[in-house]
Amino acid sequence: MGRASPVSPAVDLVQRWTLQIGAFVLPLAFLPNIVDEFVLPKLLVARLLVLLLAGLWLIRSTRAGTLIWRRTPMDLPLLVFAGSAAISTVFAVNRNVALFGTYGRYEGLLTLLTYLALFWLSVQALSGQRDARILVRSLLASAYVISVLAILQSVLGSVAGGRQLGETAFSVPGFVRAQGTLANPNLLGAFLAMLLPLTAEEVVGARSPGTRLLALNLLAVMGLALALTFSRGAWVGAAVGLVMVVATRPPKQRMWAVGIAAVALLALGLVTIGLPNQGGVAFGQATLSRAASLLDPGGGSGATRIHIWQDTLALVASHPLIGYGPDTFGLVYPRFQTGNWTPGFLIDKAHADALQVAATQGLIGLAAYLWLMVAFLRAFWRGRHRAGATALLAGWVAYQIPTQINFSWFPAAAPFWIFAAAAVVTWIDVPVSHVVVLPRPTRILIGAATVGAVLVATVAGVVRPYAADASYLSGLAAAHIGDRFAAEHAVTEARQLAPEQSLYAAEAGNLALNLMGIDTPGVDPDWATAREDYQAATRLGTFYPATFRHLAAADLALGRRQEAIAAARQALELDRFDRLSQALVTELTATEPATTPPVSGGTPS
Amino acid sequence: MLRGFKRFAIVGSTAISLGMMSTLAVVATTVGSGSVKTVAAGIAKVMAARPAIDASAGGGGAASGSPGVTITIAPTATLTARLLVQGTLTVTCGPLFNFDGTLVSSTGFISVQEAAGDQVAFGGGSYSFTCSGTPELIAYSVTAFNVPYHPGTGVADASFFSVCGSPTPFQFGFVCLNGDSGPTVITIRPST
Repeated sequence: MGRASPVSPAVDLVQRWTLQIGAFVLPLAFLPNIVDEFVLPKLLVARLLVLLLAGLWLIRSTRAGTLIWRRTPMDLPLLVFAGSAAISTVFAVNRNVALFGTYGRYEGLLTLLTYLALFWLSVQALSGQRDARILVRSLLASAYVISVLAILQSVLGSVAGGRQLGETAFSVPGFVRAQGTLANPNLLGAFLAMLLPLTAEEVVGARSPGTRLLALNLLAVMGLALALTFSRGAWVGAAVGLVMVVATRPPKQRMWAVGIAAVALLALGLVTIGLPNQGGVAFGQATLSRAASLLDPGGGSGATRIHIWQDTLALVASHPLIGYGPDTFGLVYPRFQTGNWTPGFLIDKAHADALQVAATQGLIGLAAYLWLMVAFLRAFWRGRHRAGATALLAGWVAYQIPTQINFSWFPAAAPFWIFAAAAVVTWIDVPVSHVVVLPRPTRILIGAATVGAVLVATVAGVVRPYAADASYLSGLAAAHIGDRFAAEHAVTEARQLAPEQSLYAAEAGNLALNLMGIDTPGVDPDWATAREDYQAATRLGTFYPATFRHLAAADLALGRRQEAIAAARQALELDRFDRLSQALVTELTATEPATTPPVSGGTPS
Repeated sequence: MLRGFKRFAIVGSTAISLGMMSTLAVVATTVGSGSVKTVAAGIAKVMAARPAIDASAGGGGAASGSPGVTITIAPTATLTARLLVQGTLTVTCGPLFNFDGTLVSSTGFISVQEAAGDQVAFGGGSYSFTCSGTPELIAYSVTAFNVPYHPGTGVADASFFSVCGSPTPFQFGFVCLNGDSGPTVITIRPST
C-alpha cells in the first residue's frame, strides 16, 4: 500500500539498498584505530548514509525532471524542532559546543540535523509498507549480530574478571554488563527494547514454522542480550512493548505468544533457580537481584537521577525560553548542582530526555519535542489497523521508556530515527509532492553539483574527523611511550583536521607542559604554548576542570595572577567538589602572593 | 537460493541460540567457568593489540578526576641509617582490567620532606600496586636525596599518574586514573 510509481527504478533500488545496508551497518560500526572507537564511527557512518541518500534523492529528482518528495505529518514539527535547535545554538552559552557537541557525545546541532535527515531521507527512500518491513528486518539483523557479540563479551568478561566488579555504568557486582558495539549497556538496552516487540511480532505473525523458528531464535538471543545489559529501564520498556504486541493480537496468535512466554519463563526459571551456587558465574541470580532493585526506584542510581532532575528544573527556570544550547548541559549544570551526586564523575546529561531538551533548547524546544511525539502518536492512530502497526508503536514506547529516564545518545538514537521512518511509512500513506519542473540544463547542473557536493561533504564531514581522531590516537600512543615530539606533531595534525575539538587543544596543552603527574608539569614545560592551547580549549568549550586548572598554572607561571585566579575559579565552578580545584583557589586567593606556579616544576630526579 | 539461505539461517541461528544458553548454564559451574576462562584468555591474546592509552571520552559519564581512587599514608614511618624512611600506605583504585581480565598493575611515587635546620631534607621512592578495586596495603621505602633525615615529623606525599585500563574485562574503551594522597604529616621514628 502506498507504493508510489517509480520514476527511476534503478535509482529507487539503489536508494533502498543503501538505506537497508546503512541500517544494518550503523549500529555495528566500530573502528579500533581511533580514540573514540564506538560513537564516532557511527556518527561517520550516519553522515555518509545521509549524504548518499541525499545525493540519490537529488539524482532521482533530476532524472525525473521534477523535485519529488514524500510528505509526512512529522515534517512540520521536525522543522520547528530543528529551528528551535538552531536558535538555541545561535544564543548558546558556547556556540562551538552547541554546533558540534562535546567530544564523545557529539549531540550538537549538526547531529540533531543528522537525526532529522536520517528520518526524512529514509522516508524518501521507502516506497511503502513492504520496504518499511525490510528496513526493520535490517535493523533486526544488526541487533542480532550485536546481541551475539554482547553476550560473548559479557560472559567472557565476567568469567575472566567478574570477581572484582562492583556496580558501575559497565558492571554489576560480579558481572560485566553487555554493551556490544553500542558503547554503553543502557544504550544497548534501549536499542534492543525498541526492536524486541518487532521480533515478537515476527514470531506470532509468522506464516511458516521455519520463519517462526528463525524469529524465535532472534527473540531468544536478543532477549538474553537485553537481560545481560542489566539495564532496568530497558527491561521495563521491553516488557511494556511485548505486552502491547501480545495483547493486541487475535486470540489464536495470543495463545502462541502465551505459550512462548511460558517456555521462556520456564527456561529463565531453570537458569535462575536451577543453576545457581554451582561455583561458577551464575547470571540468573544477578539478574533476579537487579530486577528486585526495581522495587526501590529511589535507591542507588535512581536516587541520583531524582537529584539531577530536581537540579535541572532550576537550570531550566534560569533560561526558560531557548535554553543554553544543544549539548551544553555539562557546561552549565554545575552551577545548579546542589550535591555531589556522582563523586568523581561529571554530570553532562539531565538523565531524562524531555528535561534535557528543556535545558538545552528551552520551553520552545520542549514544545516542538512534544509536538513531534504527538504527531508520531497521531500517525499511529491513523494507521492503527494496518499490519504491524501496534508492534511499531510498541517499539517506539519501549525505546522512549529508558530514554526518558536516561538520555538520547547517538549509538541508539540514530537507529531509532531510521526505525521511526519505517513506522511512519507503515502507518500512513505518504503522499508524494512534485514541484518545480526542472529544465534540462538545470537538471544537468543539479546532477553535477550534487555529485560534487556529496564528495566535498564526505571529505569534510566523514574523512576529516576520522583522520583527526586517528592522529589523536597516534599522538596519545606516542606520548604513552614518551615520544613527546611525535606526540606533539600528531596532536597538532589532529587539531588542524578538527579545529572544533576542545579535547585535542587541551591535549596539546598537556604535551606542552609535558605533564608527568596530576597537574604536574615535567621537564622543560613550554608555559606560553600551553597557555595558548588551554585558552583555545576553554574557548571551544570544555567541562573538564583540569583544563582550567592547567590554564591557571600557565597564567601564574607567566605572571598573570589575576587571570590565573579567574581560571582557577572556573575550574572550581565546573566541579566545586573537586579537591584539587578547591586547593588551587585557596592557594591563589591567599593574601600572600605566590611566587611560583601552584603546580610543581617537575618531578625530582 | 533464497530457500537455501533461509534454511542456513534457521539452522545457524538455532545453533547459536542453543550455544548461548548452554554457555550461560556451563559458566555457572566451576569446571565450565574454568574452561571458558581458558578460552577467554586465548581470545584476549588475539584481540588485545591496542595499547591502553588515555581516552578521556566515552560512555558512562565523564570522569572529573579519578573516581574511587584513594591513597592513604600511615601516620608513622621508621628511619634507618638517617637515609631510609620506611612505612606503609594503602592504595584503592579501579578495578582496572587488561583486556584478558587480569588486573592492571603499576608504580607510583612517594616523597618525604622534613625540616633539617635551614634546609629541607627531601627524598623519594617508588611503590608498586594493583588496581583491584579493594584497598591494598603496600610497604614503601624513601631514600634521602640531599641531606639526611632525623627522627621527628615530616610531610609525605604519594601519587600515581595515568594508570590506564578498562573498567571491565573484554572491553575496548580505556580509562586512565590518577591518584594523590595530598601532603600527609608523618612521624618518623628511629628503627629499633
